[in-house]
Amino acid sequence: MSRQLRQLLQQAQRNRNPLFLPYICIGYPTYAASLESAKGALRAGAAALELGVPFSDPIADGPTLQKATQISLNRGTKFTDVFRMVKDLRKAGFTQPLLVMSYLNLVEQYGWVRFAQELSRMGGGGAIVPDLPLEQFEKPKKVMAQKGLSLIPFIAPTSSPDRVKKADAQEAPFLYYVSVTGVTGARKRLAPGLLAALRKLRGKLKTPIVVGFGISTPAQAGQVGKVANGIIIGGALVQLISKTKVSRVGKAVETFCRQVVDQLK
Amino acid sequence: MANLPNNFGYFGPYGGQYVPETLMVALRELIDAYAKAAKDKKFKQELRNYLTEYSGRPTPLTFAANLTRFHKGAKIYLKREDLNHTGAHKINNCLGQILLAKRMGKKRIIAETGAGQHGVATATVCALFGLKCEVYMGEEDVRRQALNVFRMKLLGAEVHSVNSGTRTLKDAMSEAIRDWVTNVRTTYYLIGSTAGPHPYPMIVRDFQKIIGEEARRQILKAEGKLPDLLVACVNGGSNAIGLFYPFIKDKKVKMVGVEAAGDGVKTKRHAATMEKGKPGVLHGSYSYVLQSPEGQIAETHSISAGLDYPGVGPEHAWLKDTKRATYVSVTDKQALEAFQALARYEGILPALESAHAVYQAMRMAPRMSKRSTLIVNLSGRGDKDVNTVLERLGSNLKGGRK
Repeated sequence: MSRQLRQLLQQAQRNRNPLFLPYICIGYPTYAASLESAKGALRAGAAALELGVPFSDPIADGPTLQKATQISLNRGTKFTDVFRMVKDLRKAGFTQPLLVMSYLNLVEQYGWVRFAQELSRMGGGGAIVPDLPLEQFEKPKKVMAQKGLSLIPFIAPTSSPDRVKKADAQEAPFLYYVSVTGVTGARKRLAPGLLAALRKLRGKLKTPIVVGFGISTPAQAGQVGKVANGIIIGGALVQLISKTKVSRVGKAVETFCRQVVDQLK
Repeated sequence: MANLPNNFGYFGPYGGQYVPETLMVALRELIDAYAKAAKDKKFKQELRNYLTEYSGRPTPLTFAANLTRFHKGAKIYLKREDLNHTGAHKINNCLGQILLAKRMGKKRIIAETGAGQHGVATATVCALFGLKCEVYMGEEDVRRQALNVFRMKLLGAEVHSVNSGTRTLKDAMSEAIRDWVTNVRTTYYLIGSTAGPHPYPMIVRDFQKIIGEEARRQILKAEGKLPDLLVACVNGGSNAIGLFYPFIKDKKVKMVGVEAAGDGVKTKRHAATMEKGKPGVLHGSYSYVLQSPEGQIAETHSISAGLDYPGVGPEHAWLKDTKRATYVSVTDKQALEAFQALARYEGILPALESAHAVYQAMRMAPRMSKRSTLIVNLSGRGDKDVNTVLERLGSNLKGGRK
């Protein structure tokens, strides 16, 4: 699965054809509705999905995702629901790479070895762990690689050149570029200097760059897509879902994602 | 063990820097600034001056003669951190970190607070140095500690009431970290406990170890020998590590940390992280954490707002695993008993946090010989808790003396 993700992004890098990797919060507002959201996004042409597992103390998330994860937890969402979702999506015939987004403690408690086993058995592609620093990458990366899974490093606007280099050296399928100095969530405008910063990075890195945090609209996605290999939208999707009747969530997500995919063409 | 943490911020397996990438550079900057300051004689002299002339250090080591007589055992000494300016040990660390923030050129200070003591101490040093101060406090704690909220406002701080999660210290800390992620270039995060990512547990310990350094000198002067036992309450663990650290190499000195057992460790309403938790990652550091089997952070309870954090400083976790210190717990009811005992016998109202330690001393002293001595860290004074105690004991408490 890791290889599939890698090839997709390398292709995107070569063809200058940016990908869309939406974020879905598992169990928000219900498990069934989040499964429908995921299916909607994949039908609309999402290249891959980030499946977010709710955590009680999400320090990198703004109010929108905090609320969604709280609702999901109150509904009894379990860590293992992420495996269930991967399985359900595979059963429904979707073949796109599926990445788990989780805070470190949940994976630590489940155990990295067991996590990698289960995820690969269900057909997952890798994991994104926002509070796992590069300094601690080596061991879990190895465990994941043994099962053909990848671990995605972050870079931020505050990252020093040597940290960016270190992230690039991980040979990950892509680097997750945090677009804002701040937490997740939709914003009216793109972070000032974002496009210029991405343009500057572009030629210097061998790893493809996917940009997330704070991209809200298809138009913004289109702008960022011109200087990145992929974009992630999370908060804006959660907001959309919060305003939609549960029975229509799948369709609404599909429509929104289609607009984003069109903007990236 | 006294040379820890290592260069990567670990005490054995505990500690580290488990934070979003955005903060990694800020932690590096802090490590470098602190290393420079710690070597700078001028910095040390300046801090010493403020500790002496502003906070009133050294704080006394008081022999609790009545309490000792009543318990017929070890001589009980109280390290009087309650006599610091602002009424608790928290100011030691705040003075140190504010001087550091000033050196780093930061103009805006943020902090988290549980009981409000660290918030008050932070607001105080910000007033003293004319810096902008914003304090995050859980909604539940804002209610329980209304007086401290008002004190912070009087001191010119802005208090943000946090209504996410359990609405207590852990959520205040999460929110402070989110603020820091957003404003990291201009803002100094002044953590009050030995929790959080490296280098905080080390920096806070270093600024608090003056408690133990003084106590060591004072007890040697009073008794001509080292104490047999040190007792301190532990949550994040700053007052305890402050007392323990200078004695770590003195293998004969026993150290006992006291956690909050709330309604009892057999119920779900407690905050005994080391007794009931297991290792995990919370707020940037690997240590014992109270959590569900899946790793969701647990809700806690203690009568004392300053003891209900579901984590603990990594150095304490290491002291526990290596058996250099032991950790026990004391219930709400027992803490209230000690609160009243200290008031009646010694004329001192302890903070409810410190009352947990006092209870443990009362429990252990009778089992020790009359020639032995123990030191309790009286980390703060109890004025802030009088309302809580009134709620629990009722206003028809009988006064008078037999």
